Amino acid sequence: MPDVRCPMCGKPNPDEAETCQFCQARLKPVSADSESAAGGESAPDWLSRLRVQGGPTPGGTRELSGDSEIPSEEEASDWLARIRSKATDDGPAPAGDTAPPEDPLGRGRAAEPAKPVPAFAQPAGDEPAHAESTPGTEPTSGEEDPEWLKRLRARRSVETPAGATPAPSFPAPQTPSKGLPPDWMHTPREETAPGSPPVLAAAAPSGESAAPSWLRDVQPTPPAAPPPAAAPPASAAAFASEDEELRGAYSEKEIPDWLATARDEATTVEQPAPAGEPAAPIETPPLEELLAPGVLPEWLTAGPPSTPSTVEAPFQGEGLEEAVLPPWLRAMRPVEGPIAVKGAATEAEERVESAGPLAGLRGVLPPKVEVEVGRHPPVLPSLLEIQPTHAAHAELLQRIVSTPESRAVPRARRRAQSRPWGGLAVSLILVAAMLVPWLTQTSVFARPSVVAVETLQTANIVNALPLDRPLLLAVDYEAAASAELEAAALAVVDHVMTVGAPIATVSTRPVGAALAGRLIARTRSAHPQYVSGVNYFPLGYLPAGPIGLRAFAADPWLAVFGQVQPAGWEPAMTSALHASSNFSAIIVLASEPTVLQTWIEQVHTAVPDVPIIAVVSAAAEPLVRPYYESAFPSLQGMVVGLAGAEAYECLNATDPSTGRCGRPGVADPMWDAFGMAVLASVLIILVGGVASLVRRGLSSMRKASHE
Amino acid sequence: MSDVATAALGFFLTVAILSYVLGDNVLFRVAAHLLIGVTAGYLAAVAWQSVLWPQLFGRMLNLGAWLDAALWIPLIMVLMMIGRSTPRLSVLGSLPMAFLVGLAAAVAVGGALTGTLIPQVAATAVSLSPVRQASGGMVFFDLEGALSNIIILIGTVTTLAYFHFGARPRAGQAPARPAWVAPLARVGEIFLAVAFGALYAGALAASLTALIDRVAFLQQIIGRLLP
Repeated sequence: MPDVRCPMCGKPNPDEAETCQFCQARLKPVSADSESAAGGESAPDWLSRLRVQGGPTPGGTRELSGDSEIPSEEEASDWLARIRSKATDDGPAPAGDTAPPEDPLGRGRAAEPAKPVPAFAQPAGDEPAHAESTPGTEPTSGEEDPEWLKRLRARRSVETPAGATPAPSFPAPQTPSKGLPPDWMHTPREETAPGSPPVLAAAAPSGESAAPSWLRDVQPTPPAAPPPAAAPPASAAAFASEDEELRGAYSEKEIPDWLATARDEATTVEQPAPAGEPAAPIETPPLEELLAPGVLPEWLTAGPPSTPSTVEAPFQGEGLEEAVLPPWLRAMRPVEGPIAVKGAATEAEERVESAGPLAGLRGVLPPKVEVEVGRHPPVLPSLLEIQPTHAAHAELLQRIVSTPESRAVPRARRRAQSRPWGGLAVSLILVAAMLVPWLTQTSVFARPSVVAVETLQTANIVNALPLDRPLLLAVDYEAAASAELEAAALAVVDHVMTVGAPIATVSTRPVGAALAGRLIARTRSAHPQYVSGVNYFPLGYLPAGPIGLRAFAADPWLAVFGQVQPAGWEPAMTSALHASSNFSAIIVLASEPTVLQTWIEQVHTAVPDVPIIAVVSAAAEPLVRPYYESAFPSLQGMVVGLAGAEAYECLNATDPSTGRCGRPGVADPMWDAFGMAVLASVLIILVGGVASLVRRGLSSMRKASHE
Repeated sequence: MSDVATAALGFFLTVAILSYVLGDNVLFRVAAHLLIGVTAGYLAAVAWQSVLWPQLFGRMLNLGAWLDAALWIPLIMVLMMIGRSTPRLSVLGSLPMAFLVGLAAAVAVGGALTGTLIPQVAATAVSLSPVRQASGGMVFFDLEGALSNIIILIGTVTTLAYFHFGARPRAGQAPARPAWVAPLARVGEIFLAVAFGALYAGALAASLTALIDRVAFLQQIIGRLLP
C-alpha cells in the first residue's frame, strides 16, 4: 500500500521501498548502519574507528564547540580518559565524597572518583591499535613551527646538558574553550579499560623513533613508573613541571595566554604534590600521532575546506544509486548566480589558528561552528528554464492585468446594445405594415387561387380516411411555432373531423401533449362529437426520441402506456392501437425538419403502407420537400406554413359566389397582415441592399479620389 | 376571471418579450427566466406523470410485477443514472448511458440508411431522356421533366464538388483545388446560395407569422380595453 510519498517527485511509494520507484530518489535517510554495511570496508581506519566510537551528531557534523560547556562523558577524548584513569590510580577520592562537576582537565578536585569510564577506554595490557598501525610521521620542518616552539627548542638546546632528562614542555591539554582539539583528532580507544596505565606511556618508547625531531626535543623522557599510591595527581604534576619549564624558557610576556590561564588555575586549585616525590609528567598524545596521515581525515590534511559545511556529505557508496532529479525539479532548482554567498568560505579560508596544537595553520575548521543566527538566509537567485511560450503567456497576462481598458469591455458592449436603432426601425415598419389591414379593414391580397399539389394530395388522403381505424396525429412542434403550425393543423384537423375519422394524438416532445390538447380543444368547438376514449385517443408523451419511435412503430400502445390500461376507452380502438399498421394515416406536425426525418426513418420504414402527411413550418420546407418530390417519396402530402393553411381552409369550404373561403379559419385573418409584412420585408431588404451598394460605391469612389 | 388573468399575463409576457427590440432589459430577462423555469417544471411533471409513475413506480405497487424483469432492469438503470448527479458516483451512470447512446446510434443509423440515404440517392438516379413511356405503352415527350432531372443532376454533382476541400500544394503558390473541381465548385456554390435563400425565406415567413399572431393578440387585448 503506497503510503510513503517521495520527497523529490511527490509520487506515492510502498512503505518498505528504499528508493522511489519513479525518480530513484532515496526515501529513507542513510544511517550509520547502512553506511558501514555499504561502504565500511572501503572506509579508512580512522573513519571506521570514528563510526565505532559513535554516530554522527545531528546535522552530520561533530560539535567543535569552544564554549565553556562541559563535554559529556561520551564526547570526552582519550587523553582525558587517560588523565582520569591516572588520577584515579594515583589518588582515589574518599568514599562518599560528592563528585564535583566534571572537568576535562581534572581541575578543581583532588582526584577523579570512580566514575563510568568512557566506552573507548582501552583494557589493561592492550596496545592501542593505532600505536601499531600508525606510520611514523615525517619530521616537521622548522619553518612550519610556531615562533614560541622555535624559541623553546633553541633555549633547550643551549641549557639542557647532554644526557639530562628534559622536563615535559609540551603544553597540557586545554579546556575546550581554549582551543581543545576536537575528539576526532584523537584516536579512539575502545579497548582501554579503567585503571589501565596510560596508553601513550607504553607506546612512547616504540614510537619515539618515529617522532619528529622538534617533538623529540621537547618531549620528556618517560620516567620510571612510580608506585601508584605515591603518585601525585597527574594534572597537578603536569602543570607544576610545565610551569617550572616555562619559567625558565620564557618570560611572562612570552607565555601564551591560554597557557598562563591554565597554569594559574592549576596552581590555585590543585593540591601540591607530596614533597620528595617526583612529579609524574602528564602524558599528552604525541603530535605525530595526531597529525598522522592515517589518523587525520583527508579533508583536513589536504587543505582547509572552502566552507564550514553543516550538512552531512552524501554517502558515495558503491551499492547505492545516486538520486536523479526529475527534469522539472532540476529546472526549478536554484543555481548559483552572480551574487552567491562567498563570504563564509572566504572567511574560513582566511582564518589562521592562533592557539592549540594547530596554531599557525590556515584554514582550519573553527572550533565553534558559526551558526548563522540572526542572519538573513542567503539569497539564491533562481534561474528557471522559461520557455518562450511561457514568457509570451506571462507577458500577455501582465498586459491584460495592467490594461485599464479591459475593465470597460462589458460597458462598451452594453452601450452598443442599448441603441438598436436599426432593429427598432425594422420592427416598427413591420408592425405598422401588419396593422394596416386590421385598422383599415381592407383586404389587399387575394386568397390563393391555385392550390399546391401536395396540399391537394393531403386533402384527398383525408377525404379517403376510413372510419374504423384511427388517424395518428403527431404533434411535434415547439410552442414558439404554434402560430404558424396551428393555423395549418387546425385546417387539416377540421377537415379530418369533418370526415369523422377517429384521431389519436401522440408527441415525442413533452410540450407536445399540451399542444395537442389545445389543438383538439380549438377544433372540437366546431365538432362536438369527438369524445376522448371514443373517437379521440390522447396517447400523450412518447419518450426516448428515435428509440421510442422505433418501439412505437412495433407496438404503439406498449410504447406509450406499457402495461397500463386506460379506463373507459373503446375496446375496438384500443386493440387497433396495438399495431402501427392499423393507423389509417399519420399526420406529423413538425417545426423542424429533423423531427419529420425521424418519423420517416423510424416509422415509415416500419409501416411503409401507412401514408404520412407532413404539416410543417415554412422554415422547414426546403429540407422536407425532397422526401415528397423524390422518385420514391416518403411523404404522400404536405401542408406548408401559413400559405398552405390558407389554401387548405379554402379547400374545406369555398364560397361559390365570391370564390373565397367559405368558412375561414385561423389563417384567413392573418393572410392580409402576412402579405403586408412580407411586402414590407421585401422592401426593407431591397432598400437595405441598394443602400449597401450605394455605400460601397461611395466608399470606392472616395478611395479612388484619395488615390 | 381566469380568462382575464390569462389574457393579462399573456399580454405582459408578450410585451416583455417584444421589449428585446430595445435591447436587453429587465422585462425580457424576467420573461425569459419565467419561461425557462416553467418549462423545466413542466418537463419534470410530464416525465413523472407520463413515464416514471405509470411505467415504473406505479407498477411497483403491484407485487406481482416485481417478478417481471422489465421492471427490475429499468429500475436499476434509473438508480445508476441518478449516480451521475454526484461526481463520486458518476461512474455508475456510465453503463445506462452507454446503453442509451449505443442503442440510439444503432437505431438512428439503421433508420437513416433505409429512410433517407438510400431513397435520396435513388432520387438522383433519374433519366435525362425527354422521351417517356406511359403505363399504357404510349410514348410522349417530357421536356420539362428532362430539364428538371438535368438540374437535379447538375445541382447534386456541383454541390458535392463544392464540398471537396482537397488541394495539392504547388511550388511558390497557395494550395488550390484541382482545375476540374474549381468550376464545378463554383456552380455548386450557386446552388447552395439558392438553397440558403429558400431557407431564409422560409424562416422569415415563419417568424413573420409568429409576429403577426402576437401583434393580433395585443390588438385584441387593447381593443377590449379601449372603449
